[in-house]
Amino acid sequence: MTVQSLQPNVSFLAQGTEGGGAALNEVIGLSVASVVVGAALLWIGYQHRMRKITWLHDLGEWAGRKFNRPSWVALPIALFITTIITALFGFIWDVSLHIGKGRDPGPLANPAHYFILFGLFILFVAGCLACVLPYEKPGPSAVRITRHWYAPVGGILMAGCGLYALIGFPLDDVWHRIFGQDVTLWGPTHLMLIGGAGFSTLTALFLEHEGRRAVGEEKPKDGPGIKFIQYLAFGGIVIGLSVYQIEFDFGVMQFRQVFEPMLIAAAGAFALVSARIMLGRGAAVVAAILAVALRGLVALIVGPVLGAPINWFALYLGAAVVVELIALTPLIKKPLLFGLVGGIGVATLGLWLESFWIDAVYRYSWPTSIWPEALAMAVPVAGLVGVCGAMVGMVLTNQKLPSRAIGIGVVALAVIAIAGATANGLRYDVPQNATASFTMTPAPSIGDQKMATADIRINPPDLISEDPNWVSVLGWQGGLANQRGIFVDHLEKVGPGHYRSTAPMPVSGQWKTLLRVHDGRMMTAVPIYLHGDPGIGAPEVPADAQMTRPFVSEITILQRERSTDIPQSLWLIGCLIVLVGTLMMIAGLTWGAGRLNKNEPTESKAESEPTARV
Amino acid sequence: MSQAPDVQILADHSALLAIPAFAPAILVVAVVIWVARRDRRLGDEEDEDATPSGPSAGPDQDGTP
Repeated sequence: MTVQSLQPNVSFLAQGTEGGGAALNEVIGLSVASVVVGAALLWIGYQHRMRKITWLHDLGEWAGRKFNRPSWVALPIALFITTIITALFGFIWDVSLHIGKGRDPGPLANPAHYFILFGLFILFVAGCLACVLPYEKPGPSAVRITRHWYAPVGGILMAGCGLYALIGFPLDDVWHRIFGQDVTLWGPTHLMLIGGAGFSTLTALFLEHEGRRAVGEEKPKDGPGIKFIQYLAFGGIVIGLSVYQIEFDFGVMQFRQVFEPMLIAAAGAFALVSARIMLGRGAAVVAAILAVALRGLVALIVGPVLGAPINWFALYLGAAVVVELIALTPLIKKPLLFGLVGGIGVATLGLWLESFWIDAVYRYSWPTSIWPEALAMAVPVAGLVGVCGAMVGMVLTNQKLPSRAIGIGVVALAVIAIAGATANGLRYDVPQNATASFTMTPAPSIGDQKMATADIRINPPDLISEDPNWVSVLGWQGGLANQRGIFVDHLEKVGPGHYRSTAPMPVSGQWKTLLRVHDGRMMTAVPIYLHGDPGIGAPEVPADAQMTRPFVSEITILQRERSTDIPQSLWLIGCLIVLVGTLMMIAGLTWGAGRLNKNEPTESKAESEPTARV
Repeated sequence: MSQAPDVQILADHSALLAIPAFAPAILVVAVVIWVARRDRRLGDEEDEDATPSGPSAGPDQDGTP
């Protein structure tokens, strides 16, 4: 890839400017576009609040009649559902394209980015819409913006989540400028992008709750459509909190495998416990089924239809059944305890049931040796997150939360548990002075792709235990036309430290092919074939017929683009900034839940105040 | 040779592409915060005006900015 070959894309991007496509033109053009968009949004909001336009009000009222909710709930939620599914599709597609093709060769070469950008921006707009629409104070919990303008808590939080995710874009750029293009989902700024979108599902439920409370007791009973949307919301939370697992879903995880059960248990405990508390019997199972349907649909479009790498997803059905069964006991009458026991049930029995699915379809199954550490991480996290889910369920069903100190304390404990488990999960060892000796045997080419099988001897031979997480060959970024650009082969063990391919691996073209070893705390790799990458000044690593290479840290191979000469302190500062942002988001959601719970329906002076001015 | 600028350009574009999305969002939030602060300041000033002559004007009471 050269600079010249990017130019056509560049000039097209600038829309109208030709030839040179100087960066300045693009900056001006896009800045003008952004000012126009921003000004248009502000203008519409201002006109609406000054009651100079009626179409937005009428549209909201129409949606409100359809959905049996106030306009400031119906319209934003309709927009939210559309946009979050768009963003989900863009996200999964984007990840799969990166896995199949590597980093973006040009701005327009990755159409998935548009879906993400559009999706996150409309997410922000949906939140703003909920804030701007109501002329009257939207329920007792509403937040005062001016004396005549109150915004629903759910709307503010939804806009906040959208803003948090959108800020991830410029930060992502700064990050990549400093640290290079790290091709991993778990880059800190990537976590902002997906976390903001993932947690926004919760804000939609808050908003719906405010709307439900605002229409009061006399409202007609909710029809099946509304019920479906409520179930879908919890399916959305299942998916929204599962965004951190996506690398595992594609089989190219760059972090230790014990993260996977913990992440599944945490997402399942939170979403399913809260679903069961709010929507009653069967809700956890229905939420899991809807999540499977939605993820399945997206996976089907991205994989078989669009030809990108295949991804699987956790089913959460076992976890849902566990939550349902626990809810049959009297525990359900004590929500917090139910959340704790439910979370622990999800992290034990639920994970065990899930493991059958993982073992059946995932590229990397769970070995028996994973369980002690996996349970040690998953049980405390899922137990505490389950209590948080229970508190959300209580808020959504107007049950009084325990005291402020206990509520905030539980959230803080959950965050600490997650942080502790994460810190443990991120610890891994790279063996010193260990090598792998390869004897490569050419296999019939597939098209212009050279293939080979390997006979591998690891030195020292006792480096790998009897039950490692994986000893496999991974090939990725080989291009979508070549077996979707991903190849995984679990090696056959023939003797102590002696392994053999079970299928020919790609050793030419754009592929990055490597031997991966993960055994408990040890996580390491040996490059077999890495294509020459002049874009980052990396020479080709050829697959020789006979070669002995040392085990190295996986990051140096999987993320060759990453700059390694950056001081550690800068890395730490970057991580801390993102951490603070994430904690602010969690604090915001906690604040919102507390505020919704604090304000039981009461009369308020401002409710009868019709005037509205910005 | 020209490799380093290549990476730069890639990074540039991801941000450029995102400008129409994140810049308006920040603009909108900035304006709303400004509006809210102005309203509170005006409200405080009215409170000060109102205090000597009668019952204090609560934040929810009518008052045209």
